Amino acid sequence: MSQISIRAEKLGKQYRIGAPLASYRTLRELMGERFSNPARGLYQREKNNHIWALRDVSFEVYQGQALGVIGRNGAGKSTLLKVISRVTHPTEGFAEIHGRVGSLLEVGTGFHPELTGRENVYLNGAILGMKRTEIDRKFDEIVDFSEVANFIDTPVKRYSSGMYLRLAFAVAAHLEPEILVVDEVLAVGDAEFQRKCLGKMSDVAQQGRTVLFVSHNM
Amino acid sequence: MERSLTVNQSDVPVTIIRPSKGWTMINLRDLWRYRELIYFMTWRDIKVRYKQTLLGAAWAVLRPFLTMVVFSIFFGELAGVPSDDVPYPIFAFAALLPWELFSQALSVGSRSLVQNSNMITKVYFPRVILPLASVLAGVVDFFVAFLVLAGMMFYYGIAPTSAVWTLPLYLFLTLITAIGVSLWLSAMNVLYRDVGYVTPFLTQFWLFITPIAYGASLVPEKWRFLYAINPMVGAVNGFRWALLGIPSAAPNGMLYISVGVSLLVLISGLFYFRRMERQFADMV
Ligand SMILES: Nc1ncnc2c1ncn2[C@@H]1O[C@H](COP(=O)(O)OP(=O)(O)OP(=O)(O)O)[C@@H](O)[C@H]1O
Ligand SMILES: [Mg+2]
Repeated sequence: MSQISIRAEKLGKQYRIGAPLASYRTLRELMGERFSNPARGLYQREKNNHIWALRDVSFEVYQGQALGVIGRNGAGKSTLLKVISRVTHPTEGFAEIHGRVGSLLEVGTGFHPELTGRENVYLNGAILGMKRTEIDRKFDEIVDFSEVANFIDTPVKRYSSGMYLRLAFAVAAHLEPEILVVDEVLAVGDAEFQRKCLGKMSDVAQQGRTVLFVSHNM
Repeated sequence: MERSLTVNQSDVPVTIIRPSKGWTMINLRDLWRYRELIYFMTWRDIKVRYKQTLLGAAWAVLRPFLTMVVFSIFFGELAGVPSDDVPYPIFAFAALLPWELFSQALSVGSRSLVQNSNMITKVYFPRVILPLASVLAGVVDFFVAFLVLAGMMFYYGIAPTSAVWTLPLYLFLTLITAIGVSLWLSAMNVLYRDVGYVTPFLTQFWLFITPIAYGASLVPEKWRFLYAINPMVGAVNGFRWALLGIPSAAPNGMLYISVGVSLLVLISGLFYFRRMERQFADMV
């Protein structure tokens, strides 16, 4: 139990915000910046708004622990999870991750409306890092958990939003990484399903795996 | 490798996360670990395309076929462009096969990152899978169109030459080139959306500097080596040589130039992509 799972040291992430860099640059702007007035271009670069979404974040999580992250909107919670799950790069600092990370920053990432429930389970599973054989093995369990068995061969664009969410979460709940990183994905869905998901998540922690999650309500 | 150094230690992989700087090569080990995702994304792209369009697979045939008809009328008949002793329609169609693969690849490949921005901002995976899968999905269309070419060759009574076994190599050259250019375009598209407008123009321009409507033999001798800098010249000539045995399209020094440039585009594309990759999730 005392095995380290995540060690973060002075993690920092800086974003550039404000015009023109926040919106998509066009080549003309870039050339304008470089050629028409190089000195001004440089000055503007300096003056551009940079914000630190994360700064000086250090923590340690051990195997089997669940660590909740709370904070107001824009505090940098999602950014922290993105850095830990390698979606984005830190600007400074360092982190050491022991084990595979399954990230649930959103449910149903990569779901395609034209594809059937069955096809999306495979696609989404693969995107979340599952092996094909693993999905084969867990397929029935996933469908059972989602309770949308009757619609499994229907394109997901015909699903109600609740059904869509159930199927998407069912895939995610069957991930078996050593570390699970969860953003506020449970904020939607009906109360009963939320309970079911929370139950599934505490099972995960009980199995000796690590959960890092973001929540507004404790 | 620099950012995510993964070492195996008592069977739990340890990943080091730290800021990365400078130029690094694509992480091949990571790509290998995610090889199933390449398959799934390719499969998705094929499936979605065939589900969403009314004519599905028919487009794979119609596009090159109709182009061939128009070329045959205007270039073959009216302009009398020489087709090296082969019926013009088949002369054009043999070249349109790799060309369609290439131009489609550029069109979908260049959009691949922006279109999947949702995945990029939410999950880690080697980003290079997106342009790669969208290019590979086009190979299905290629094979469908290839059946039509086989039918046409039968109709005109043209037997493939003994060099037909080299065809996969030219297909490979086409793919390498398409992937290389797509890497450049897709990465640039994340940072500069102008690429979306530039790509159709680029493709059109590229069509003219490739021997599709005409034969490479039309290009004056002294310009041929400059001409071959376009890697698609080597690929298209290869198709004409392997299938129809057109002597002027036989492999020569031009092919080496095309292959060399193609590899250069691919390798530089991999480096450029890798360098830009770390900004994708923040910028897209
Ligand atoms: N891609 C980006 N480019 C620029 N700024 C960004 C980007 N992503 C996040 N930010 C900024 O970083 C800060 C932290 O954002 P983050 O999404 O981590 O907040 P959060 O704690 O998850 O908030 P919430 O509770 O609303 O989900 C915000 O000020 C946000 O504007
Ligand atoms: Mg958030």
